[in-house]
Amino acid sequence: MLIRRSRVSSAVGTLVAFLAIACALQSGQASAKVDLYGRVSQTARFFLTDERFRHQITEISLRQVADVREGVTTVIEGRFRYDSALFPAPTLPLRHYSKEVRNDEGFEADSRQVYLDWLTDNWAIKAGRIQFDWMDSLSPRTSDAVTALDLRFGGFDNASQIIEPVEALSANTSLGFGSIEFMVVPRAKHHRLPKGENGYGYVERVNGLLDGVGRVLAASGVRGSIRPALVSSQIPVDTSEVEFGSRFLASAKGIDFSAFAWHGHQRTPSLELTIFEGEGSAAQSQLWDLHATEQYPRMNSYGAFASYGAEASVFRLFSLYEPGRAPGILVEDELAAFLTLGSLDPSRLFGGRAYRREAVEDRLRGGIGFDYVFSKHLKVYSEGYMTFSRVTGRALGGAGTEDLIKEHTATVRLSNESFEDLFISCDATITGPERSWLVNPDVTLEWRGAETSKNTWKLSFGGWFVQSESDQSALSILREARQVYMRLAAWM
Amino acid sequence: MKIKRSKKLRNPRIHSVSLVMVLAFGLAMPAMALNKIDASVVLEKAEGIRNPSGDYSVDVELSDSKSSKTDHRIYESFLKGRDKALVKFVQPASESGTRVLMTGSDMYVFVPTAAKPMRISANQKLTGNAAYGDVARLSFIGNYSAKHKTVEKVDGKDTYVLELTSIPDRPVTYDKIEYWVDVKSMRPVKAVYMTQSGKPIREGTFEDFGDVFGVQRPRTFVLKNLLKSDHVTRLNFKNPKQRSFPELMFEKQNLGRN
Repeated sequence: MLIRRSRVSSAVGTLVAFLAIACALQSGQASAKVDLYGRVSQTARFFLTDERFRHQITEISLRQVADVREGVTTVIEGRFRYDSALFPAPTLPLRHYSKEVRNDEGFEADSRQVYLDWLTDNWAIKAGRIQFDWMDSLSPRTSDAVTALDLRFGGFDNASQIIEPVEALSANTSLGFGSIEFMVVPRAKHHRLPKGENGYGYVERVNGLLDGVGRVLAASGVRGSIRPALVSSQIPVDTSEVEFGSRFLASAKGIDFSAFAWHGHQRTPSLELTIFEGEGSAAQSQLWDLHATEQYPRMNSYGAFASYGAEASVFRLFSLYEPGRAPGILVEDELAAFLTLGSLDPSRLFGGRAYRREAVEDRLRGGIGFDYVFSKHLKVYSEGYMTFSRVTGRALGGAGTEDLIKEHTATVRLSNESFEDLFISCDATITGPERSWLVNPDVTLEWRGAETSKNTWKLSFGGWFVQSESDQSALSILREARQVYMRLAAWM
Repeated sequence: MKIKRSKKLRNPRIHSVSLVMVLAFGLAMPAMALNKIDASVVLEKAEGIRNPSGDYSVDVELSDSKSSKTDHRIYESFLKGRDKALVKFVQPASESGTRVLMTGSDMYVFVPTAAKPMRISANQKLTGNAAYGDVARLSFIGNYSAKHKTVEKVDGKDTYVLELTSIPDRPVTYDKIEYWVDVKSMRPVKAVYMTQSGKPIREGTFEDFGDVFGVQRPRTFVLKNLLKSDHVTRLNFKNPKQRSFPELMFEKQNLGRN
C-alpha cells in the first residue's frame, strides 16, 4: 500500500511540476528558446560467473530545455527503460527471475528531472524534481549521505543514472565572501534496493541471513516452522519527515571551501530482526514469523570540503560526520534471547556486527583526493578515505559494548585520450580491512553521423569485476560479480 | 675672402652634417619611441579590442581540421568582467549539458553524467588545439605579465611584439605567449603560444575584423599546431550580445543549472 501511495504522490508531484512549467511557458515570451535532446541506447550485460545474460536493456532518454525568459529556464527529462533479459526467451541463456524482480525492473518510465530554474540578481532558485549531490568526491557511491541512490544493480553506472531524483526546493544567495544554499525535500527517499533476488547481492544476503537465523533457532530448541520474510518499508510522507539542509560555499586564494549540514534520514537500511508467533499457528505445528524489517531512521549529516587547483593538478580534502545512525543489524530482545540459547554461535551469521535495539553508530569519514594530468595520454584521478564507526549499545549477547570499526577505501581512475575518438578509462576501488576490490575498465569509440551533424554514436565495451573476500557484512550491497558489457548509444 | 670662403665652405659641411644628424635622429626617434612603449598599455589596448569589456554572451563555432577530417562543435560563452567565464556545450548532442566555469584561478567542469561540478586543473584542454580559455575568450590581462620585446613588420605593417609570461596560480593553458599588436590600430594580429622552455607549439591569428559593440574586433581566431602542420582549429564568434549576468551564475554550485 505504501508503495502504491508513494507512486501516486510521485505522479502528482510530477504533474504539478509539468503544470508549473506549462504556465511559465505560456506567460513567457514568444521567442522562448527550446532545445530537445534524445539518447537511445542498447546495453547487454553478460555475467561471467554463471554465464548468463542478466540484462538486455533498451533505454530512451529525452531532455527538453526551454529558456522561457531572461533568467528563467525549464527542464523536463524522462527515461524509458525495458530489460528484455528478465522475460523468458528461447534463444538466449537467461536466468529465471521472480515476478517481484520483473515488476520492479522489467519496464519503467520515470521523470528524471522536471524543474523550474529561476536566476535573479540575488537568488538562484530551483523547484521541482531534481537530482542533487553535495558530496565533493570522486565516486557517486560516497554520495550516500544526503543523496539517495538506485542500488538495484550494485550501483554499476554513472552518477546521473543512479542518483534518485527528489522533489525539492533549492535557493541560493550570496553571503559575505561566499554564498549560501538552502534546500527542502518534502518527500524523503532512501536508497532504492532490489525487491527480489536479482543477482546483485542484497536480497540474497538478507535471505541467507534469515535462513541462518532459522537454523540457529532450530538448534536453540525453538519448535515449529519458521517463516522468514524481508519486509520493505518506506520513509513516511509526513511533515515531520521533511528533510532540509544548508551549505555554505566560498573561495579565496585559489582554495574553494564548502560545508553543509543536513537533517535527513539514513539512506542505507538498518535491518531490525524480530520473531513472533505467526497467524494460523496450531498447537501441533507452531508457526513463527521471522522478519527482517528495513528501517530508515532520521539522522543528521555534516560535511566539509576543500579543493585547490594548480596548473596540472587538483588537491581535495573532505570529511563527513554522521552521528546517531542505526547499526546495520538490530536484533529484538526476544529473538536475541532465543538466538543465544543454543549451541550454535550466532555471531558468525552477523560478522559480530549485530546489536540490540537502541544501539547507536557515530560515523566519521575523512578523505583526500589528488588528480594529475600528465598529458592526453594519462590523466589520473584518485581518492582515499578512512571511515571510523563507533557503535555504542548492547551486543547480541546482551553485554554493553562500544565497538570502533575502521575501514579504508582507495579509488583510482586512469584515462587515456591518445587516440582520436577513442576514450579509454579504468576505475579501481579497494576497500579494507575486509579486503574487497572493484575494477571497471571501459573503452568507448565515438563517431559523428556527419561532420556538421549534432548526432553522435558511441560504442562501449567494458566490465565490472567485483571480488569480496569477506562475507561478514550481511548488508553488503555488492557481492562477487563479474560482468562484461557492450553498449551502443546514439545522441540526437 | 678665403676665410669667408672657408667659412662658407665650412658652413655647408656643418649644415650637411647637421642635416644628416637631424635626419638620422628624426628617423630613429619613432623607432626609439616604439621600443620604449609601455607593454602593459599596449596589452590593455589590444585586449580591449579583442575582448569587449563588461558582460556579454557569444556563440562559438569551432571547427577542428586534421588530416582532411573536420570536427564541428558549438558552444555558448558567457563572460562577466575579465576573469569570469562560463562555457556551455551545445553540439555535439552527446556533450550538451556540459559546462565549464572559470573564475579567477578556479576552473570547474560539470558533466551531466557526473551530476555535480568537479574542479579541474588549468591545463585541461577542450578539443583539438583550442583550450577552454580560447573559447571563453579569456583576457590575457591579469593572467600574464607583459614585456615589450621588439617591433616587427607583419604583412607590411609595424607591430609591437610583446612577451607574455603567465602569472603563477592563474588558470592559463600556456606558460608563455608572444603577442603581435598592430602599432597604428592597436589591433591584435597574432599570438604564438609556447611551453615553459620557450618552444613554440601553436600560432593563433586574429581575423575577420568587424563591428562588435561599436568597435572593429576580430570575429575569427585561427589556431595552427606548429608541431603538426595539418592541424588547424578555427573559432568563429557569432551573435555577440551585451547582457547583464548575476554573480550567482558564476558560482560553482550553480554550474549544473540551465
